[in-house]
Amino acid sequence: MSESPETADPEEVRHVAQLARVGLADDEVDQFTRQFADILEYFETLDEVPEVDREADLANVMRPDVERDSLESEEALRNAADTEDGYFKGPNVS
Amino acid sequence: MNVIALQLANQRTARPVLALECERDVHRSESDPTRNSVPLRFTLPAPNQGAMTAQTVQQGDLVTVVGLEVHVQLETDTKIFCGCSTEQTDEPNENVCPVCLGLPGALPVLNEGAVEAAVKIGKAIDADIPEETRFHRKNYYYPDLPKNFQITQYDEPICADGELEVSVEGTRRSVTIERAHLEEDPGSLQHVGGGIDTADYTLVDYNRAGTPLMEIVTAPDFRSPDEVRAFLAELEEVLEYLGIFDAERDGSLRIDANLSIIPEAEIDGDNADEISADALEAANRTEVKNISSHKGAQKALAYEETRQKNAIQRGRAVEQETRHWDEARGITVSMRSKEEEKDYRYFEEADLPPLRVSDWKEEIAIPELPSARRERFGDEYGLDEEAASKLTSTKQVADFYEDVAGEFDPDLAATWVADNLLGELNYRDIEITEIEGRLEEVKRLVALVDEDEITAKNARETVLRSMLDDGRTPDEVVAEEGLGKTSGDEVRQAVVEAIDENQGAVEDYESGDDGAINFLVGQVMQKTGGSADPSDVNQLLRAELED
Amino acid sequence: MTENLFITEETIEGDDDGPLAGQTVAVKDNISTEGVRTTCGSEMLSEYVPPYDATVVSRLKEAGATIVGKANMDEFGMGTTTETSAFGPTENPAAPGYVPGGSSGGSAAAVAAGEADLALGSDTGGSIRCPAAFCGVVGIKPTYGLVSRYGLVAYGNSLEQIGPFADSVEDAAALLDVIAGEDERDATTQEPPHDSGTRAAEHSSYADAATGDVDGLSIGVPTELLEGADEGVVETFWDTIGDLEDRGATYHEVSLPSVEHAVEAYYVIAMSEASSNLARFDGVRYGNSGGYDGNWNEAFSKAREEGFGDEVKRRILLGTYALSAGYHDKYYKKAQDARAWVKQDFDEALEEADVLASPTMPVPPFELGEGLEDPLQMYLADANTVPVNLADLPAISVPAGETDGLPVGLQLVGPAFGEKQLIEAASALA
Repeated sequence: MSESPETADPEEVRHVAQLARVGLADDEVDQFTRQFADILEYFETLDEVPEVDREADLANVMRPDVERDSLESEEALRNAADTEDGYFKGPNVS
Repeated sequence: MNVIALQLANQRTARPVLALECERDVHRSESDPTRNSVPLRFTLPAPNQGAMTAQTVQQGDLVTVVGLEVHVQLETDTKIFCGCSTEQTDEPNENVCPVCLGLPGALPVLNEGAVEAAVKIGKAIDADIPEETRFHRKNYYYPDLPKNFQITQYDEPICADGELEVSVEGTRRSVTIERAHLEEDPGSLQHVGGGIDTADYTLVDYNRAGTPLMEIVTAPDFRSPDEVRAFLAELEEVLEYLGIFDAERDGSLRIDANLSIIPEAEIDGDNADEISADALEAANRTEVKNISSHKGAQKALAYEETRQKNAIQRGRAVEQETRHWDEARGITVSMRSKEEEKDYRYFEEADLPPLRVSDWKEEIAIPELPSARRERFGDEYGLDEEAASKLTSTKQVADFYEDVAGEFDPDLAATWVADNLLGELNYRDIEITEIEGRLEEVKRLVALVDEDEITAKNARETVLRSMLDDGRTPDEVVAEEGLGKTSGDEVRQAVVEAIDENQGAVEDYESGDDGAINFLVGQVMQKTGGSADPSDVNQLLRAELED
Repeated sequence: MTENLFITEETIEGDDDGPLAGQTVAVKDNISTEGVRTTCGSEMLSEYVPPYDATVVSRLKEAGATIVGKANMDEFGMGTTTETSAFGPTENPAAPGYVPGGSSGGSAAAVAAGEADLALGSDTGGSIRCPAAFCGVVGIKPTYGLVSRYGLVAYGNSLEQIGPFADSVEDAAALLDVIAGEDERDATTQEPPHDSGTRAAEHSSYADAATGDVDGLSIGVPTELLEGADEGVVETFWDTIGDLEDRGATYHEVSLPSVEHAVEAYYVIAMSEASSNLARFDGVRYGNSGGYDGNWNEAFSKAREEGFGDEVKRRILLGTYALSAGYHDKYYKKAQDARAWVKQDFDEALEEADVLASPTMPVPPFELGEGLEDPLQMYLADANTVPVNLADLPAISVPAGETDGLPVGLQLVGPAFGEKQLIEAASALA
């Protein structure tokens, strides 16, 4: 294949960071842009890989529809930064 | 597949005004590039038609095209990937564990019961169950998603290419079900201090997270909100028959509907059932979310259909967008501001080995489905379509009818189950499942009528109602209210007495006043304390007077 | 103690008796311990206390082991040096001034320093074998599916396994006996097949297989895994092969053309999976929320900006990129092809050999602080270990000697569920 190598630009880094919900400072954007260029260029060699069939050796691993103990509500909430009346409390979704 | 076995008759109402408005809009659109899309397309000739003329446009009418994504909660004891109960609870975050809370390190293990339910659905809609199917991760962020990805099935769903027969206004149609797949339900959110847009913060409950869902995706086969409603009602019925669905449960059915309005000219004349993907693509569709019942679907889509047609008639473009059905206000609301770029980055869920369950389709039995049973009730018991429909509305009703019809006359059984019992239950807003333990008593009541022990009227109006209202058995009601039919001899005696004592009425009858017989019947009824059958009395009186 | 071995030093007592009674175990800090914080070496989880035990931890307790602490590691397992830990680097007890390798650096170092008899680590692309080699101890990466991952905080979930460290192969094997086997909470686990038809299959336990018998052992040496390696390392490697030959083993060279693509395939897959596995850290249910008000998108982004270190962010972003619309087929799908190809190559090579041998790491340990600036160079150091994870196979790293006073490890790779023959062969060396 003769596609030109992908080179990530700062816009793309910001876009991906937005998709992944990772805030980045401007200097981080610059640093990642440079590093991604190298790394993505290296990943380009995957183009040379032929198509190979795969088959999973395990299948149909299931459990019976039988109830198990749940966590105590207190334990479930213990690690939350903020709770209210047994609920996890999170930021608004507007 | 993709052949849509629907007739397109319903939506053809001529609308010449529209043609004129479209024409006008073409001109405007030429000078104003921002006003381009929908009106312009209306005046373009369809491939199989001639040059653009006013005539073409007038013939071109609008057709509503709807496709559905239906999310159905499956009735299993435990969640799809963990052993937490699916029971609804009063307190938040009670039925949660490391798996359904998405705690670091927890792993999903698939519930066999959910897979069985999926295979039952596949069998009921005659879908293909592929040799191998898989789970994928759908990656997006939202506070109700414990892992910020949802485990679902992407390109290898457990059911593909099925169909469901629906009856709309007496016509039977087949709706194509493109796919149906298993996935996990997210948790639920409460917006505190305002609506979804204005809340100060959000409270999250993960009790629902991990409830097994089946997402059922139809082809764009519907041409009216009525058809959608009929389909959803049938689907619910089928799912309840399969014993994997509880319509009463909050949130058990959630519907997203895609609605487009396209010019009829876009539909190939030779193959009216097929709509080209291009035509659908070209017509900006809206996705209507937050619909939770078949009635709601009908209302939401009727609203949306009118809204879009009005927009088109006024020469405005219909925007491609997601809209939220506001059930309380009865309108759809744009959610444009909430829309995210959709890049779900699907990839295989390596924590779950693939499923190879195509042979389960043969191994798992499903009950006879409503449509087949309706047909059989007609053939076997001689019921008309209305009675057969009523008697197959739920599996419990149909089972009970067959039980009764097996012992008594099928017509008597039909009257008793479809009219009397369901009528009284409906009046009291009770489901047949709620009196499951008392159906033997209802049968006993039918037996009393069948054996002529009590009158049909007393059975229906006094005994059945008392049974439901105060919990007595039919025999108790009959004994306590003295409803036992008087014996033939007593009635005959009363008839003779009534004739002797009321010679005036006898004379009137004999001189041709047929109404006088009613007076005599009343006298006999009085003498027997109301326990005689009035029609029997009537006959006996006439026989006596003929002599 | 100066090496910074543990993130949390806390004793968790096991049952009174059992096969590991009286033994101390260091547990990598990405393995969940009920009631004892499990940080994954990340600021994000600096306060996170799991309400449940990982399956391997339950098994350790039942076997009578005493857990002595939660060992330092590269943040979320992403690193080759243990320097990406939010809790500071660990120094190599076997080579002061040098890194212990990673990502399970604290676990290997705890054993090397004598602070624990045994340790558990996890290996996604070499994270057990690399620190075992650098610290001069034994480390086993089991066949994918032999050991339960339930409770192991996921980084690259299709690639990783929990495995043991010890001073000797026999001790590491005894720990493997305790943790191995099917778990109903991990659908990818399975019992090893009984008649694998391989050497040493007749031993009733992994520990029993540590006989040191290499007579007749056939060793394949993949030439690709020697190319570009440090000269001193290669020399030490051949010395060790010579040693095994003296004791009855034979070797032949084999070629694995697919491994030329293993590093890029590994990183694409591991980063893609990481981008999804680490999405759950948004500060709502657990983890540092950053305490920000306002919209959830901003709040999540800020929590993750603060909670994650550079290497973690780098991998999440690259993984997100590799899976995103328009790039999925080019990167992720191609990487899956490469993975299948690597698997095929290894399976074929192992038809002609009992085990495959290579240096565990192509280089001796880095000096502390040496490699952090250039991530790509760091990734390339994983060339010999990542193919094994792509192929789902078992491997062991045993001390093979030194070069310039720095430890060198020998890696042996076996067929799927062929742990016993790896243990038998490796126990000839340690």
